[in-house]
Amino acid sequence: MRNIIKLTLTNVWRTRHLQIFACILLIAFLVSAINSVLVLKAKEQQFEMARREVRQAWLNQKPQNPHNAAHYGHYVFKPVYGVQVLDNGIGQFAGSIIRLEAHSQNEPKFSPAESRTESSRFGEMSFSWLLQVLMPLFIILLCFNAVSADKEQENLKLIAAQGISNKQYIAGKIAANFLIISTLTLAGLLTQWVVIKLMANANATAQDVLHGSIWFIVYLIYFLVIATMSVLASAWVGSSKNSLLLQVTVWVLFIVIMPKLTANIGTQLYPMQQRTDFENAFRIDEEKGINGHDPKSERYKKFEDSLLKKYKVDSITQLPVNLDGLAMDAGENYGNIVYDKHFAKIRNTIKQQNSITKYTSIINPFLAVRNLSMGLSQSDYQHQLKFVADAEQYRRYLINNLNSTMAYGGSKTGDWDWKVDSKYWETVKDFDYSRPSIAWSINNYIYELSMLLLWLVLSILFYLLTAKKMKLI
Amino acid sequence: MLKTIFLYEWKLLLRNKILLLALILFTIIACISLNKGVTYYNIQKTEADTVRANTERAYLKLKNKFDTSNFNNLKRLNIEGVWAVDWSIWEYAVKEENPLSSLSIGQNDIFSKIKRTRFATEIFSNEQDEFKNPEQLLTGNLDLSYFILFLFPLLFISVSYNTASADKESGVYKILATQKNGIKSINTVRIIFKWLVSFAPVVFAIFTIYLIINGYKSFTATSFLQWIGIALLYALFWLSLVLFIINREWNSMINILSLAGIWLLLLIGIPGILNSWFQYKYPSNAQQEITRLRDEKSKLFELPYKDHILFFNVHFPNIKIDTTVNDTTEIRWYSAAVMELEKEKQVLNNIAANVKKQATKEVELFWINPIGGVMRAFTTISGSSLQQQQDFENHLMDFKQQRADYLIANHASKKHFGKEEFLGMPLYQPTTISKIPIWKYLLPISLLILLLGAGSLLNNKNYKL
Repeated sequence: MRNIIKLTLTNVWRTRHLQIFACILLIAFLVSAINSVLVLKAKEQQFEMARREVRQAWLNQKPQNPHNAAHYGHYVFKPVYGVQVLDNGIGQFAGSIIRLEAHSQNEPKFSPAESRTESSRFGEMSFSWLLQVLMPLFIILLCFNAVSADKEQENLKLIAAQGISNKQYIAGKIAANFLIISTLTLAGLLTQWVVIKLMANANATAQDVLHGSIWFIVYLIYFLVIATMSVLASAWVGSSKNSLLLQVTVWVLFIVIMPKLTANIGTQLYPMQQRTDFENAFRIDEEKGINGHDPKSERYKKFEDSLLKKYKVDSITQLPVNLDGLAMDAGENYGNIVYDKHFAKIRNTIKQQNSITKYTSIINPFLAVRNLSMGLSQSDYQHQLKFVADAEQYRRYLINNLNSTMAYGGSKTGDWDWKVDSKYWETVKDFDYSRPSIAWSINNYIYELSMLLLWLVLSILFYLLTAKKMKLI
Repeated sequence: MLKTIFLYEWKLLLRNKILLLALILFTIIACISLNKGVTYYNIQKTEADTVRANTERAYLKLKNKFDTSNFNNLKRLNIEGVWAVDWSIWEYAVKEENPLSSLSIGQNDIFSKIKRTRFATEIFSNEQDEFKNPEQLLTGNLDLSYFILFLFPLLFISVSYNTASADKESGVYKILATQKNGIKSINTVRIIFKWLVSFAPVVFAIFTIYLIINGYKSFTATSFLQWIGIALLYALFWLSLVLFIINREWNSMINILSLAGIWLLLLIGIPGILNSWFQYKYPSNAQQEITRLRDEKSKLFELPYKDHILFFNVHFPNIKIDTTVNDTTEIRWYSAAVMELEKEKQVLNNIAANVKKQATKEVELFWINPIGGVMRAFTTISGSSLQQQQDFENHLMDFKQQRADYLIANHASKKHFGKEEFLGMPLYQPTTISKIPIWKYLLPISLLILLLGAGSLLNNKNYKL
């Protein structure tokens, strides 16, 4: 087997077009690394600057009524991580800033694609893109004639005469090609690492390294599957030309057509609720609850009565608390239930739409790897959802804090001119986003990981079958 | 000769089961892409129509309030106040739907096409945006323009890459060489036949979509023909490229590798690299601009009263402030509202200027990214380009200013904002979609066609037998 590996490596070393392709890949790795790091660095700076500015603006508020501050609101920003250099995922298409304010749950806005032309739809040349799209093509070019060329040149007879078994021969071919692929991939990863170190003041934490390492292993498994399948296809298909045609066709089908097709089927099967329908349904539910700004409503009156009963007083002027603040808080709590109910429907639809792509990874490992890659780089939809959920938790804390201050801070009902002093703003803690762990990231993609491993098992079984059935002579 | 070769190729086509299967498969994909575009357009249209109907209903409801109200008995601010009217009119600006967007969805699934015209609602608010699935946006739409740009060349390459080389490899070449028309002419005609066959699914899709959308309101035959023209030009580019490569007389393997390599470079490599570069070179400035806008706006009301009076007098030169009608707080609110709108417009312009720089640079780079030019031409004709979105937003911003001016001027100068004033209030009128010349986007690909065509014609190399 060692001789087979040696021979294959020598042949590859002598093949001009493979040398050129490998050089192009290495240059592309370097270019993508520099570009990704520059973009990430700019994003990091923007994030830090915007976060500081917004916090400062909050702290610098003049004395004012807490409810005015609740309407003034707060902005929270989605943080960026070093590992996103590897895969930017949905970064171009997902909003990264949320305005938090009283009475409404806003969605993230200002995705970079909103201020880009249609060229943004061509994709970006990130390291993950090179590994997902170009590397499989390189593997095909490397392996499409791994066995068929030996057949055509009648080398197989010589090999068999030396007492090399089918198993050893094919395993040697796979091992040699995989060695080249993993070396190239490692070179790409090291390039990214060096560029990060040199250009981005090494903002890669231990967690980034851990994410990056597992990310690398996932790609190695993916490449092992492709290399094995490609070598085995070359053994089964009669000629090198047909093997190349077949493999390029599969590449087009798996990487160019299928992702779009599955995504489109997803949106056709599970159409998104229209905004007007959402608004109508939301309003119907919202009107059933208490509105903190509508003291004439029946529900407000009921709330008022319950409060009078609780404090055993006859009129709101005798209340030791500010009814406005409490009503506002009750309104918020009710609004939260309504928002949760309706947003859950939207998120469920998105989940259903994405499930088509997810389940198709059983026949297309590219889709499994694409999702895993985004997940491990924390640039996926799950991560976006976590950011939105955390931001919402913070909004609830913030608004509740402001309403409670209004209710229990010493003001009287109807006294909208009552103000908190400037020191109060410091008592409200800042939004602190907790980065999810690696286990959390992997847990979201158990299915995809299983599919990738299933593909690995299938390729091993296919290898054993080929070794058993293939006639070398 | 033409008839004989076409008949010969036709027979070969009918005998080739794999090719027939591929043609059927591509036609199915074309139908799926067509269905995607039409469904998308219909959903957008339904939503737009619903919003328009809601707007009309809300207007009539408010008008009814103005018809029946006795203003003397009501608190002025509750019904006729500037912000009360602005809030209760519930009017929306809807970007006109273009039926051709069912052919090229472009950036339509990213941009906001419905926005509230309320002047106190920031134009950057996303409260009326459709819900989006970021993973779906990342993957992109399988619409007809995608089918033509990405899949048609693949089908054409796969059927034509071995047009001459297969004959050579199977030894038929010598027989062909004895024909009086010459091998080059024969090969050219054969490739044209294969080009026509590969283009058949596109023709089928275009014909079908014409039957679907020609009855739609605002469908124009000129734009549709222009769209077909762009598709044809692009298909011609691939024809000239394949002719050029086949005439090099390389073997099948080199032909397929070269053509697949060019496809990869033009459709994935170059656009991907440029897209990444643009991200770095022209980062979005929207985030910072808009968060700062909130802080700047919040300080405007606190400006000294004399500043407000000065601003008000400059902005409304014909209005004399009557202190019996307007108190100082009111004037502050009015002046701050107009100042806020001006700031908002400034931010919108700043963002637009940044984006415009990027879009202009992209046009220059169409010389190295000709497919980007074709894509831009498709989206422009379909009304789904960035510039058309900016036109829509600018038009809305101007309208918001107009509405605010009208409301404030009437409130500041009259005792009541009554029915007459309400009826005279400007209502949003959709902007006409600007006609952007597309020829400059198509220049690079046209020049390439000419060069490749000339390269094929001038290749007088003797065919080796």
